[in-house]
Amino acid sequence: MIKDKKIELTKKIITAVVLGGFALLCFIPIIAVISISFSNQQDIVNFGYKLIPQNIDLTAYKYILKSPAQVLSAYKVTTIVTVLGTLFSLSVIALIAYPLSRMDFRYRKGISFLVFFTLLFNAGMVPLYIVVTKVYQMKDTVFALILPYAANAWHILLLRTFFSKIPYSLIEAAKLDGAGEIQTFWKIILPLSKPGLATIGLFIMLMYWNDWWLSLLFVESQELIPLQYMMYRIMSEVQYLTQQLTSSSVVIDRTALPTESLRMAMCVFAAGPMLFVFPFFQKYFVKGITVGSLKG
Amino acid sequence: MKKTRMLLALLLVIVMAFTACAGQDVTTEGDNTSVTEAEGTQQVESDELEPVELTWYYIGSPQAGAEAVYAAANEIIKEKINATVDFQCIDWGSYDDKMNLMINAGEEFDICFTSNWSNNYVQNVQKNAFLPLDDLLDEYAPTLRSMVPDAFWDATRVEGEIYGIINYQISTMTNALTINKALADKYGFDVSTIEKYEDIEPFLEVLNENESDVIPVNNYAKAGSFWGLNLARVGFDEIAGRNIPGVIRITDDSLEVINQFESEEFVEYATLMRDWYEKGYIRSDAISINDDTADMQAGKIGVYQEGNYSPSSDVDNFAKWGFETYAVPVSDPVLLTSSIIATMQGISRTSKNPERAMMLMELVNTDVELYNLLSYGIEGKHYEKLEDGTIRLMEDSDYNPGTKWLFGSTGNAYLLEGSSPDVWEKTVEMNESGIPSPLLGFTFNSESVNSQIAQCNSVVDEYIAAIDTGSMDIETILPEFQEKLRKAGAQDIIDEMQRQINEWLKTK
Repeated sequence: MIKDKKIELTKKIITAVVLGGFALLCFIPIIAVISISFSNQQDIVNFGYKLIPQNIDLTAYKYILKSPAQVLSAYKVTTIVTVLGTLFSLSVIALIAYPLSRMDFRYRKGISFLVFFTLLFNAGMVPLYIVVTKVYQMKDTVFALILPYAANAWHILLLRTFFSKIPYSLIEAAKLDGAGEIQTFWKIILPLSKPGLATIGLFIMLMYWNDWWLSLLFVESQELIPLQYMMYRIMSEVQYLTQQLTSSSVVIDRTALPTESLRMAMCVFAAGPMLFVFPFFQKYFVKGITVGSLKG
Repeated sequence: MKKTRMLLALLLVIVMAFTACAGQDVTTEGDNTSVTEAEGTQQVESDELEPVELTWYYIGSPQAGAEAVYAAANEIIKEKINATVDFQCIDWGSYDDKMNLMINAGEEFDICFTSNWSNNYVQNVQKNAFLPLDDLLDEYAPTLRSMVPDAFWDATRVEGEIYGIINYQISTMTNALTINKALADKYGFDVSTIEKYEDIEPFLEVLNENESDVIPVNNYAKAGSFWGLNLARVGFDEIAGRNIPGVIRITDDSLEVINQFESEEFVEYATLMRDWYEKGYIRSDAISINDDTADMQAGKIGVYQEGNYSPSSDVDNFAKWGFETYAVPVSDPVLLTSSIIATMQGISRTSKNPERAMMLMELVNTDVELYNLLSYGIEGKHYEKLEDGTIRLMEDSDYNPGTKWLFGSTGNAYLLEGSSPDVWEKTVEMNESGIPSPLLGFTFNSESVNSQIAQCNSVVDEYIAAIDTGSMDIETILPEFQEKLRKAGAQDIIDEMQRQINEWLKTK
């Protein structure tokens, strides 16, 4: 018995150490980013990256806040896209996923196949570009940042699985009580599916929040540039100018590049809000992800 | 069942309504702009030219104050050729992807920046993305055509036709050593004693002994490698890229393709770097450093290698790093295809007004005011003119793209403060006296050996930093490196190059 307990204890310790170590590994980069954003450039040159800044220096933040127009406009675009996109996408997905979860829906197989098919095969980037810019004429509009991601096949399948866990007898009972399909969906199914909706909603939200790809493809005017693309641009620019260009015969003024601390301060600005939103969703997140994936 | 169907119908309606809205939005926006432009044109009573709108895509950092500059530029363009230009500056990191996509999708635009390092010129020509320009150049851009020597135009020819409009600038490759002026003066080092590369050693020794803070030679794990900056010095011309096996010797008229990494010159270079490393001229952690910006800006560098010397190097360096330098050429100027096609514009096959696009190119290469507007911004706002005719860029200005070579011939550029007035004459002189590579005008089609190139590339990436920084024993590392290159298919690449060059020689 005592032996067993000892084994239990060592097991627990090992788990704690491994998980704790892993958590630390995830956490250190964030601390480093924050720390660098508060360091001054000279310290970085002299001492390298430190987890605790040698001297607190707010230059980077002052610089960003001095002409905040760019950051604010990017925030605005990202917020609009994320909020509208999440609501729209979630409604579209729920409205597809629900009928697909009903065994008594006649075209279930056909439509399920269509959805599933897009998960395995897609036409690629150029056709997507042509469809969005030429067929729908959405180039350089906010719609181009929302619609291409609205009906994500993976999310539809996840939510369908979630819906199909709701006992059919509930739907039958609602029918007997005289509820129509829409009423059943709205009053019975949706309230019961809150964890699922929250999970998928979070997925969608992260997807929209983190997206820079659509804006890289479809956006040209500066006022439609979302936060992540702005970040991507700054980072890729620095990388490009310091690495790629060295082999070509053109000269570029590198003093115009943002300093290390400025880049990290931008990161903090961009990542900050999501860090705070995430914990609130965690409860649903854990529940939802186990339900969705195990049965998927 | 009926209701499910209704639900589906509802869904369809929602989706359609949304797309309809999206479509409408765009059309109304488009209408608005065209109306305002039409009004604009009526005011200008210019020649018989129809008003047109051109789109010009180019690479750079989008500038906050660009709108004002574009508006001022459009005033000039409107007056001269009755066109409005929609300038689209795409950031460094996305330009390649974006242009690739637009070209593949056949999107309509008029002009785009193209080169051998971004928005690849030869690939685009092979994709049929650009219009052949011989006739257009003769008819609509005679000054531009005659301003640039014929040898340069020949370098842009792909299968006999010109597809790129050259921005005439320094196009010879001259390797240089750039020396920190403050330190050289402090220790009385006479830079005129440098005739060849190794002559710098005494200076490095002095620095190493007396300046513990200073890194004598700024070699580090640079992408693209420092070895690549020595090709002109050792007399090679690259064929598919600096780090891809396969070069020719510039003095060799038989054009035999050799593997530069197995050449004597390479071994010599590696030995020298190893020697410098062991003597402490190269910092001991150099191999783990891939960005020198901070050290350079701090001026903690004694000497660094530069691939491309130009008569304005010293001024450019000061603008770039903030310390004064002596740039000393250590090779003859060599005229290479790769440096001529480094900065060009192409006219898209989808352009509706290629004639006007060409007129714009002529204008931007001949109109001093327009060219400097795009390069430096608005006078008094983004730069100020000094008494001697040079200009000083304003600090914290919202327009400083820093890429004057991008818009047109740099001969029209105002000189930056401190430049000697004859920079342009010297540049032209260098261009004209440059030793033309026997490969001038040859472009390599890499299609059939792409996978070997990718493999060799990763092998070179793995080893070259160790050789550049001298941080590993070359006795062991060199044979290993060469063996891996052989296994990666270096010989296939070289054979293919030789085959294409032999064929090209026949047509010449």
